[in-house]
Amino acid sequence: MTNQIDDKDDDLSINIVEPDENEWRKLIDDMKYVRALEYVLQNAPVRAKDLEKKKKAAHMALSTMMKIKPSEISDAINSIPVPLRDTLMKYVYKGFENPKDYSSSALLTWHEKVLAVTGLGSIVRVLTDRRTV
Amino acid sequence: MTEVHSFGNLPVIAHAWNKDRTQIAVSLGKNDVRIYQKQAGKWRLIHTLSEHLSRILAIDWAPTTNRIVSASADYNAYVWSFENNVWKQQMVELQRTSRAVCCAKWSPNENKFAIGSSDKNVGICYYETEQRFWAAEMIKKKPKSTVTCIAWHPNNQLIVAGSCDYRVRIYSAYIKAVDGQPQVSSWGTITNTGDLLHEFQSESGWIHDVCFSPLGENLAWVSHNSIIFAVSAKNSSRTTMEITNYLPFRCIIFVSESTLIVAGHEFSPLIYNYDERKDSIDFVEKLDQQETSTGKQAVNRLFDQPSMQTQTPEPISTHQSMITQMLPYQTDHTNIVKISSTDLFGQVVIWNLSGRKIKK
Repeated sequence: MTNQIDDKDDDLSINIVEPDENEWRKLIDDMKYVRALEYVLQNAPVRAKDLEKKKKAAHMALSTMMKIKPSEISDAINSIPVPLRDTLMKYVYKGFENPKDYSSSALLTWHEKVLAVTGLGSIVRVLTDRRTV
Repeated sequence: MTEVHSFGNLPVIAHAWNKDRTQIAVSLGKNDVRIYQKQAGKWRLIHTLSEHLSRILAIDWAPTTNRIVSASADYNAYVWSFENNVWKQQMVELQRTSRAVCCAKWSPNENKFAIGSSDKNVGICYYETEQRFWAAEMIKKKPKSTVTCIAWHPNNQLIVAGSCDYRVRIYSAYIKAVDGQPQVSSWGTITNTGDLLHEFQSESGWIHDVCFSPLGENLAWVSHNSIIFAVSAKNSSRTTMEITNYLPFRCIIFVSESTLIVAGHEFSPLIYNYDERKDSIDFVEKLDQQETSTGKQAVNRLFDQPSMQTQTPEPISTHQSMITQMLPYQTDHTNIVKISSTDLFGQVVIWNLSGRKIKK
């Protein structure tokens, strides 16, 4: 008897989306960083199995986050729709996995600011959700 | 206002009250059910029901028929009845259960009870009068993981089961032998035992508790991702959810048709209001209002400014640990006016809901 849950039971492997790099770059070139971040979060490949896809999207999300000034982080978070804030928190933790690529001190600032808005609930959701980034 | 009763330092895994609330049956994480009676303001142990071999996970006391059902990790459930001043047990024939029985609940009419187990079984149990034993009818369309919670619809013929496969399912619990005619329900036509009427998904969190509203028109559940879900029979295709900022909730209870109370890892029960027309679940207030009182927090405010800004201040609340279970304690018509909650430090707290913002 197995207690494993199939991926199809969790809607994984369907509705796969991923952010389009050109679209993202256009927003970055226009200096619309918050808009670019929201775009990546909206299209995060949370249901995808392909690790390359996830890596590419994570790079887009995290490098956008690095471009946003610390003083503007709070406003940025508040302008992001509530369901996407959990995805943002997932990317913060994703960033901690690679301290060489992304500055942990900047990520800690992000973590603090996101936590202030979403409370401990978002950390619990990062831990429990099977739809990883 | 709030009464606090203590039963030692052990966790209260489950509790149940008798009809007039003078006795309480508790499982303190051991293999026996203990029944305490209130005498001169003190709780005195009057009965110990020991037959289970391992930890008891659920207790339910049927008030009118005065029977207790207990479910345990030893794969068994027993029905206890009170005869000649002793509690006599009768085993429930759960032939196919090969894992812990996690939940057990009497139906509103007390002629059946439902159990849910770790080997994904949901069983409707009833008394087989001719052969004189408690028989179980297992549901065929099983959940795909441990059944953690069960709740009855007030019409006595529907149950809802929440499970670790992130789903909540409504089943028909109609048993021909004891129920007579199937009734009409707002959740679908009831014909055979075990028909799956609805299935709802809960993002990506295993279900901790599920409940029907007093009239059975609304259904709500909580899962381990700190989200509260609700759905109305009027529009069962639309699930409303509230993404909360709190730690996960372990239990949920409807105190009126639209007001719910959730509690769990957050120590203080929280009141929410479900509006099915607006498709929203809104936070109303904390049930525990002790937190703003004096004590350590006030001292910190005077001497230690930074401590005010910390994310998780020292909890100053009635419960000092995770809330494990909530039960209605006193009802007024269909609305619940008092509830009881238990925690991991052996406390049972009775909350008075009068004066709270509860929609009738």
